[in-house]
Amino acid sequence: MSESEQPILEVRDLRQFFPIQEGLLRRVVGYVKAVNGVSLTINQGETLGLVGESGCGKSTLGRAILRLYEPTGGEVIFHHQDRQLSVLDLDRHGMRQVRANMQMIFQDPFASLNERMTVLDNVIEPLVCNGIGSRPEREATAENLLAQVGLRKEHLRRYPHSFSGGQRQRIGIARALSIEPKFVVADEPVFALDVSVQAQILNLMKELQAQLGLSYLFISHDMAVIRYVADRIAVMYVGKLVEYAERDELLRHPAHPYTEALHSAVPRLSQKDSGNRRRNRILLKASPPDPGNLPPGCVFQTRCHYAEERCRQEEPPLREISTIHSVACHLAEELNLSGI
Amino acid sequence: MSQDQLTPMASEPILEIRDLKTHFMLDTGTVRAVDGIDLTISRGKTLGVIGESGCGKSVTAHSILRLIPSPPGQIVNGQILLYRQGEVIDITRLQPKEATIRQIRGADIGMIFQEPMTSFGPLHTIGNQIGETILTHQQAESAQSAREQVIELLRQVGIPNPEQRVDAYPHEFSGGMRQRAMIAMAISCSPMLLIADEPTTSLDVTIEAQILDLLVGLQEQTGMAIMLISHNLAVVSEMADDIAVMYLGKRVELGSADAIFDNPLHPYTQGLWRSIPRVDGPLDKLIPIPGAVPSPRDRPTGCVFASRCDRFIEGTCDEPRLVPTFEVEPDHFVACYLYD
Amino acid sequence: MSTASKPTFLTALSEHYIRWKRERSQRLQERLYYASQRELVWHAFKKHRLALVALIILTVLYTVSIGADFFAPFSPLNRFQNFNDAPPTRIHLITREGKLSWPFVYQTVRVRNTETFKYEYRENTTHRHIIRLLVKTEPYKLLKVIPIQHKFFGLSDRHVPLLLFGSDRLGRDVFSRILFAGRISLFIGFGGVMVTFILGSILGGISGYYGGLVDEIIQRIIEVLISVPNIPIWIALSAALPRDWGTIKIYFAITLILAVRGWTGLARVVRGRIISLREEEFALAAKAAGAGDWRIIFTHLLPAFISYLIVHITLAIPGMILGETALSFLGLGIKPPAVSWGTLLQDAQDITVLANYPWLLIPSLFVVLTILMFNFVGDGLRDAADPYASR
Repeated sequence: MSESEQPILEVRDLRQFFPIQEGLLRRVVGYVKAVNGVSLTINQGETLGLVGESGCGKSTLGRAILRLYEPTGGEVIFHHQDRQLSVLDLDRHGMRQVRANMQMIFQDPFASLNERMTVLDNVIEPLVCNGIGSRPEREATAENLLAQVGLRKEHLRRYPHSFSGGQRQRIGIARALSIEPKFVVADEPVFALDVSVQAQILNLMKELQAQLGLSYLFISHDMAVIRYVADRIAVMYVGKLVEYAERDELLRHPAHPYTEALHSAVPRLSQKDSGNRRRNRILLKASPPDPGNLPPGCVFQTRCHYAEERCRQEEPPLREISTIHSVACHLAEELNLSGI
Repeated sequence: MSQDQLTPMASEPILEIRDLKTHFMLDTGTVRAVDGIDLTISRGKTLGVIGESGCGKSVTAHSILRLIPSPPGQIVNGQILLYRQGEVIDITRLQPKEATIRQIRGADIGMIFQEPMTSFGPLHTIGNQIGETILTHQQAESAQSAREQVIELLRQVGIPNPEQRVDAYPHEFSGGMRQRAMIAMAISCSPMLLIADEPTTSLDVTIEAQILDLLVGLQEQTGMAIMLISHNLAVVSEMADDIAVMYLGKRVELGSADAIFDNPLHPYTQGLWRSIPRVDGPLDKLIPIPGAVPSPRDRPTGCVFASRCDRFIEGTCDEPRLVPTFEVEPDHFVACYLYD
Repeated sequence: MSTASKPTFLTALSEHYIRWKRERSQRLQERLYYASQRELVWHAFKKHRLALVALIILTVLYTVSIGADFFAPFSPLNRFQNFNDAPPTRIHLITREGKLSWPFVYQTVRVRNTETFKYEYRENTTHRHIIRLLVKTEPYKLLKVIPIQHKFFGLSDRHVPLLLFGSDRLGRDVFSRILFAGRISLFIGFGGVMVTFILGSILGGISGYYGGLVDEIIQRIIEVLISVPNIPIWIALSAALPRDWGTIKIYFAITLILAVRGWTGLARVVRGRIISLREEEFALAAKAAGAGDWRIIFTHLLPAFISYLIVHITLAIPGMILGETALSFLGLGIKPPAVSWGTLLQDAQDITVLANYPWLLIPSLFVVLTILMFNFVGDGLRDAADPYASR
């Protein structure tokens, strides 16, 4: 649970559209609305879990927040030492400072390190790019970081190709932390790892959070992983935030039909009775809409079992149904959905 | 579905693997991908095979259908016995190019893969390709009747508008639809056994739920057996009647799904259970298995799990001999000295 | 179940061997961990027999060309009077008496055949001239720097013609001229390739990374350049060179001319790779770390496919060599008294000449050999260059 309710990052109506170009003259005929007006808040010291399936825009959101893509619209406010910095309006110099405080851990440990540089050079890259410290100081920092993530000093002179996936992910974490950020976006950090190694990395991330007072935006498609790390959970669907609540509340009492379907679809590891195989899964009809060609009204209406006429006409806003629970659904109060 | 689930192995076996060893002769050394495993698949039942990277589960599946590229791979030991209408065929003795094995593939044993596109070539319609399978195995007399069968199959696997979809090209299908089409191809000749190698790993969880539901339904309708290979323990725990746990080419535990759940015996299985995040049940701290899966080239002598086992017995577990298998309760086998 | 066997001397020995092998492979494994990409590529390259042999042959060619002063028995301008178009001097191993001897030659004399009125070359078998290694000569300076008094091989009597590849129409030793000509032919590729590399990487990098209008402009320029055929452009540009330029100037001018189209191929390759790599996670990680655009392109993206570039370049050098040879052959490249293999081949343009004095074609063999060897090395590099491909 977060120590304070002080926000560290606020996202307001963030939009990331990618133009669709056709024809000889590359005319823009439409937009893929990868992130379509998302607002959320992350508090200091907490982990916000962002869950959704492929194509929902969660990775794009993470990258847009860090301004690795140039967002099409909206605001990202970073709270830094009593100041509020509007990340999207900063110039290069301002971005430097912000980048020093917001970092990212990437998904694919085999693609996120520079294979041509030693582990040392990889880890101190943020320091080098920001002109922090002298060479010996950077090396000392790198040594400490490796120890913190469970690797050894000798590993600094090696090249990434000699390490396993789990070790590489640790190197990636060390790199992200070298510049002492306050806020870290973790984009599916354990997805590409072996099952027995995932727990190591998850525990490591939790420890580091406690030690360094980090705030995480933890992106994953795996509800079980999100449950383990997150304090609050946000659910995304085709570029929109459809539900947003404290962890247990979202798991036990989902208010959005999509969340209900997600919970129902997740395979259960626990108790098993023989013949339990035919557990009643909620099966969604049709397929997700094309983000370049969205239907009117609620983004989920084409697959929702509860959809009514109003859902097809009017887009539901994200609204609070309790102090710890927000949802974007017209029928939130009427439906009685089953959770985990 | 029969009611006597009391003795899970009592059902009639259709495929028996005895002491299978598949090795790959590379110039850097021999990789013993599968190193002596025993499995039995019974009619109408689902055998789940779980393990992480390098455990040999995929190689096992490919060995069954003699799909191992040779060189450098080779089945160096063991038998794979197929019980077919009164006769017993040892698949390991068949010539890879011979007619018998080609007959078995498709007609007796079907296979689906992680990437749905591996089953289909891009230049022909789905209807043509599945129809070709049907005609090759002489399940239809003419192209017309084959086509009708294909439409029926597509309907059976839940593809909407099969009359139109039969003339579509593979790239026109979405991920879930492709997986369904692949399943349709695999069951087109009503095989006794369907091998599913990570069938839902690349799919979103809501689509995964649909596919798993489909497989269960098909099994109920046709009575075919399923060999479900996955690293996702939750999926296997939901679908399987019996579970085999593999590690570095060896089968370390085998039992009914209930037995493996309620009473995991092998330290690796126990370690897995403790280290996997769950979406339901108590939220305990995960206890990871220390270390990482050794590369198949650096196998430990003696017990393959010795290097990571917390119950390692010096002098016994590292003794360079085959770890014996013990039947600790009826039909629950474990390869571990702790049960000597 | 192991059966306890009495440890014999042999089993103990084999156990030691197995342990030694394992430790050795572990040590090698350790070395690999610290291996940079360069070392990994070299390691993989060494396994390619053909490429290795080709590399050795190329090294020999280049060494011999650089040290042509030492390796060639005569200077390229040295003429043997009345010895035009002489066939290669025969090397003998067996004396008149039938005894084995060091390789030797007889003095040859030109006589006119009284019946056909053609010149023939007869051997004067009175005296044997033994071919010696490190034969003493007048002092000269190797590469204009090192004072030296020997040549690699030759005859003690400097006036006896030792024409391994015969002589040309002015009586000059073809073998020596080929060696000296290699200095220009073999090295012109490098200059061109350097220019190509720099231009291609920068323009391709900018084009790929920024996209948009910059990309469009550069690509259109490339397309215009490519659509003009190679040889005509080279000919046109060479013909436009002022006649009074000295050898060095012409040399550099040719280099630039060859590079003017060379960079386009590389730029496209670079652009393509940058486009595919700029969305990769390690590039995004560099951006998140605060790296500026140039640092991302040149420290992170370009090195990721430097092996491709090296292969591309290795395979581009032969093209340049061939280009220079073609130009010089047509009289548009290097001018006398400078020699390149192309200028040597000018003598072989006439078919009657070829029919009568076929040894004048030998320079072309050197061109072919060089190009083949570069191609083999390029192939080996290409196969070795992606040491991460095994994963």
